[in-house]
Amino acid sequence: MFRSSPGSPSLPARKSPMPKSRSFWCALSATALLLTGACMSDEGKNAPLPRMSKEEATTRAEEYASRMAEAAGVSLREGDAETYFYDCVGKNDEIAGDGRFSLYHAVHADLPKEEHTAAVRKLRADFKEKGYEVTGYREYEDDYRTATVSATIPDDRFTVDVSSSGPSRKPSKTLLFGVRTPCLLPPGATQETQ
Amino acid sequence: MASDFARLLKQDFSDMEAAAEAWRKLSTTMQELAERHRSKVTGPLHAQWEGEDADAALYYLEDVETRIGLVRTEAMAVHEVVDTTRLRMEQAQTDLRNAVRRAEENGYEVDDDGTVSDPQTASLPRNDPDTQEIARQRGGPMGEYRRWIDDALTDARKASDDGKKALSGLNGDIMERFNFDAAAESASDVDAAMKALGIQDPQVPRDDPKAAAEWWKALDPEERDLYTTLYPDLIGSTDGLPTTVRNDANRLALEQELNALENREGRSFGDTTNEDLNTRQQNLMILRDMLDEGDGAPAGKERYLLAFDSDGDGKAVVAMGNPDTAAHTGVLVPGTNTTMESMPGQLNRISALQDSAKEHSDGEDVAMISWLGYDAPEAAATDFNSVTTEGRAQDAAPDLRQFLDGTRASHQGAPSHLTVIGHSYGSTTVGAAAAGGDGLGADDIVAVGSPGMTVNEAGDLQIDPDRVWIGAAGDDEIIDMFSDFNLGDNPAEEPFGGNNFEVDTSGHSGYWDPNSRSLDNQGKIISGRPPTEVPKEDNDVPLLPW
Repeated sequence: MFRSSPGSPSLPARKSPMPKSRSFWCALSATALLLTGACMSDEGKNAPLPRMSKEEATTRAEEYASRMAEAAGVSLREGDAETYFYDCVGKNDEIAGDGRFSLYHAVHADLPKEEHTAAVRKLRADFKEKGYEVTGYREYEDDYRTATVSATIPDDRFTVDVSSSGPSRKPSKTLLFGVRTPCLLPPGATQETQ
Repeated sequence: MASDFARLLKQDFSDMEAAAEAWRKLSTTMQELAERHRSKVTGPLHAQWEGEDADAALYYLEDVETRIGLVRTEAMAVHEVVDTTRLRMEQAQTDLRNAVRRAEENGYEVDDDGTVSDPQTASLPRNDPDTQEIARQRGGPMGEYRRWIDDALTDARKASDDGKKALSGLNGDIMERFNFDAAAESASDVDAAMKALGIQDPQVPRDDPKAAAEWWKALDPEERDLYTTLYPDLIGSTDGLPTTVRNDANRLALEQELNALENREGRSFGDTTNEDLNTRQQNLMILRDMLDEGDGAPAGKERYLLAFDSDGDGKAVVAMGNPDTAAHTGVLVPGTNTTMESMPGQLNRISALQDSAKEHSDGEDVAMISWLGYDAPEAAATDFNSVTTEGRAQDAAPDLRQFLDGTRASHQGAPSHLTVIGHSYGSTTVGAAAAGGDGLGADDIVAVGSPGMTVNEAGDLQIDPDRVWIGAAGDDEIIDMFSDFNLGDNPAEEPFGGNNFEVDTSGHSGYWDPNSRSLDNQGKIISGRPPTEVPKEDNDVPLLPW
């Protein structure tokens, strides 16, 4: 199960980013440093975060969801939209106290499963036309006839994802329109150094 | 003054019964009050009020909550003492009445002091061998009746004395305003009272979650309240019992242990050093604060404390949403360097996974569990072995399997869809648990940033390999440096089997980055929907230097 159709695009096989021999010696010879993370890069963790208020982020997310629905030719389910906020969690599970946050906005559209592929294809074309970076696309010819497309919006690095959704082990009757934001810092907040 | 015999014979226990019931009701009322206070008062305030005034007010209100909790405990202990004493004295009364009745039926007389005499032989001539034989024959049973009566009176006196001793420790001093260790004292009061009564802990089938679930179902509501209130450690840590019950018991146990650690003077903690006790106290404070902050959470986001241990780095199993009623349950097993201080970050992660899964399932109930139920290895120069060997994972494996058995046993209605996710060394733990015993019984297994799962093939995890999902960032150096060595072959590579899902995040800890498909794909798997897949990586054989 959960196999993409043979004709659907797939990403190339990943390669390990560095030869194993280097890793091996790093692991073998510098255990203490390695274990405390010295072989990892902390580069960029104190780079200035993009600034945006929660209200602004919500408005943008709602707008992106509406635009996508329009492009897909579907109607979003009324009263269904949910917006979630999260703290930003660091690599050691630390949470900054400066108010930085991320957002996930989700809303569904009712659509027969037979129409999912066509809707998602329209969205992929629309994303390309708008200059979004299409980061993922799948069509599944499984029992559920599902499809998914995702993209990153270059201007604000918001990501969008539209996927067949619904209770598991049942044919999908809905498309989920999801919008996620990167970690954002509210205007006026002082960014903490990590 | 009436003799003990006369008093016991006529004793009416209805007042004692009513008193015991009143104490029980007081305790259960306090339990309900504490829950309401938590969800309606302190919870919302934690969520909406910050600053010095908020800190001061919440400190006061949490203290109120603690005191409500200790009244609950003390009142239930009084109930148990009074009720047990009543039952024992009623039994003694029944024994006494039976002895008197049998004696009288057989022609003996029992006077108001309990003295047994035999009017049939009293007037018989003492020098007649025949009558003396009759007297001898009737003397045996008379001795028996006397002994029965004495035994009944002895039992009643012991029950009364034990009850008095048990009650003597349960006095109102505990409510004194400046009694700062009242919660801890309430726990030791219960121990002392039960010891005075000679009552053993309830016999809970702790190693068999199914049996524990059945044991709990067979109890009546009064027994459930009693055990939860008087044995919170035991009930809270038993896999298979309902989530709400374990949460209630564990919060009570946490409050009592933390209160004892905060007021150490005069208490024994064995050989534990002061530094270790400080760590334990700190661990519990983090846990309590985290739970307090979640008390005002909306339905589905409520937090349940399913297990905890203050020792060492601290252990905690916390659910977000109720796994007993959820359609989908995800269990996240964290890895290296995870301690109690990691819990707030872990909760953020499971919250994001929960939301993603809920949306992908179009609104089905999803519960997520952070399972720091093991001693995660430290990435420190002083403890190199723990992170590069399977030891900690194998130690944790039976506990993880039993916890998951308990999750299934306590689930109501149709079985939920269960996904177990291991991150970093947590995936090693998940692998060890899946490969050993009867496996995890999970519907899906996910490993992210895995240095190895103790086996070399997904097929060894006792699950359909098609339901094994591996997430591996291209620049995850932990995978690159540690896999294919002591912990097993790299699960992201082709020989391992299973599926790789698409990961668009960077590094070893980015798998839950907020705007990532790495996160969303895990949400899809938890909801039973397919993630976007990528091909397995090529087999990357280490270039050994010999």
